[in-house]
Amino acid sequence: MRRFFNGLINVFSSLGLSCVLLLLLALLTFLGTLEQVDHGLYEVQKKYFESFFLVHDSGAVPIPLPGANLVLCVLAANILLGGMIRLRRGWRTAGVFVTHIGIAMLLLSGFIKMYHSQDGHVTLYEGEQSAEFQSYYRWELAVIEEAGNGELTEHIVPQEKFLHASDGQSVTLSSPELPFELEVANVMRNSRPMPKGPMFEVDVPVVDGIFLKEQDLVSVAEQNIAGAYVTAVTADGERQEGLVWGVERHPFTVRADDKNWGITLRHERYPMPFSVRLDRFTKEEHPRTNMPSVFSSDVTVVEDQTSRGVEISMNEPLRDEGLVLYQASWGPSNARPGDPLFSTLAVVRNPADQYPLWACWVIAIGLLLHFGLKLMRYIQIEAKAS
Amino acid sequence: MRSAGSAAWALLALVAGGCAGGANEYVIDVKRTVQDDNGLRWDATAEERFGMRPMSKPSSTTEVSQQSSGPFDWTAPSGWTQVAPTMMRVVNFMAGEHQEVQCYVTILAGDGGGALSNVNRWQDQLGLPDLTPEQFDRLERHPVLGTDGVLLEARNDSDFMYGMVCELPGQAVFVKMTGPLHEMSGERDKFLAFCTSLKEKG
Repeated sequence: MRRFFNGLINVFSSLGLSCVLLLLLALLTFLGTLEQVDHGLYEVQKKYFESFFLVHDSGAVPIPLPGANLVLCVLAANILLGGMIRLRRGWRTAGVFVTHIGIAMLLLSGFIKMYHSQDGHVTLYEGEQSAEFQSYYRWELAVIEEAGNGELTEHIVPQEKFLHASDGQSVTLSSPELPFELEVANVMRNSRPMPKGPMFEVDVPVVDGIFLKEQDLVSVAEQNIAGAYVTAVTADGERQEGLVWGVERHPFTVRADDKNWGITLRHERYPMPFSVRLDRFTKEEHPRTNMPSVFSSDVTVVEDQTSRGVEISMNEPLRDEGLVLYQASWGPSNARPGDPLFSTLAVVRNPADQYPLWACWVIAIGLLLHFGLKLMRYIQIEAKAS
Repeated sequence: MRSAGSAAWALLALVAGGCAGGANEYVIDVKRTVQDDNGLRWDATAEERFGMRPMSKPSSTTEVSQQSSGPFDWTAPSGWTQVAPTMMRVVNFMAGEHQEVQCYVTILAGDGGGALSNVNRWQDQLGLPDLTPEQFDRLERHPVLGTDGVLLEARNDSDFMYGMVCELPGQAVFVKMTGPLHEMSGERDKFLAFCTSLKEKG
């Protein structure tokens, strides 16, 4: 048993394994980059880089491969064992040791980013204010009720709980605080509401003359708009059916318990610890073109009864309370002179935001130490020889 | 060995239990309170919720025609005025000297009832007899949206109609132009130019 354990440690700490893992990472990056042409960044990222295993479709023969997630986990173990625990300690290897700590920090920052970060955007017209940002890709169902004092209470269902309710399946959502159960069915990952004409039939329910038409998934994932059929079933068996669609302007309203309840499908929303109000959006264009050369947003950050003005421009993000807000885009793209414009700020909540910078410093110090010691030894040997 | 077997059964039972219990029923346990910044509307109609306009109410006109509407990009002929889309009309124009001509694009799911039945429905609207399949086969074809669109030209004593039917995978696109005879002269080329300029967005 001990021999087996030692053998395992030898394999996991070997330089050979490091080389294999780095080659696998290069291969996954190459294949993932090619796959992006047809399937878009989001799908490829999930398939090649966030997975433990995958099957690459190479045409004739499907190739099973380890996902980058698994490769990086093994690489972390490899660095920990080979580059730090089993490394011969001493001044000669001090630089190598420090460098491996830096590489491990890089891997750790990737791990934290993958499992504990949120990213999305907040889009505002001038004068608008928001205390939350929304995902580009993820969906949520929200059941909304009035809470008084201009506030709303939202009961949130993450996409994992209902997105599979298609092909005849349905999902029942309930809460002791709701006077009805919510049945979700015919969930479509990309859809469009359409009026039902008299000359054709559809195989989904028609509500108020409108039905949801399923669309092919497009490779740019944020352009897919999910939709679903929801039915509120009250305790006395009354059913109220409606459509919800990812970019609808208003929720589907259900009447139950002498109250209005709004049901809406939307991109997942994340609260921010402060509000951002867009005061002014500025855009400068290249001469005689419509291409913007510079654009920036003057915002007011409102937090705990205090407010301060901040300019967010393309290379000057706002960092506050663990959030980073970047100037991402603006629109509408077909706006005419004088039309109101909106500004889109990309928002990232990443606890390991600064880790890569610190990791680079550690790696730089390690390499400097290693090559500095080598240089000193070389100079000493040369001095002795002469 | 025995303990390994027990562990495997326990794992299997756990996986099976997890699949059977939680997949299709879920208790909502995430709740939060937010400010109603945008004034939630409880009484919105389906059209308002989905950004559709009620049928047959082309209202505001725009002086400058945009080159993109609904799922299409297109080039508008001179003299046409784009008006707001309606529930059925994803692209909508007024044309003619007195703006009495209407031209619009409609999309229906599937084959929309079939090209021949739609052409005959248009014939019926002008009080004309149905086309036979042979007559239908002899109608002009024009390349529209990557397929051969069928062009109907029909008139009665007072009105004229151009209709283009394009059957695409999963949907049918109809472009229809109607107006009084005196307003429709010179519109054929514009109608065809508009039809052939239609392109599905990116």
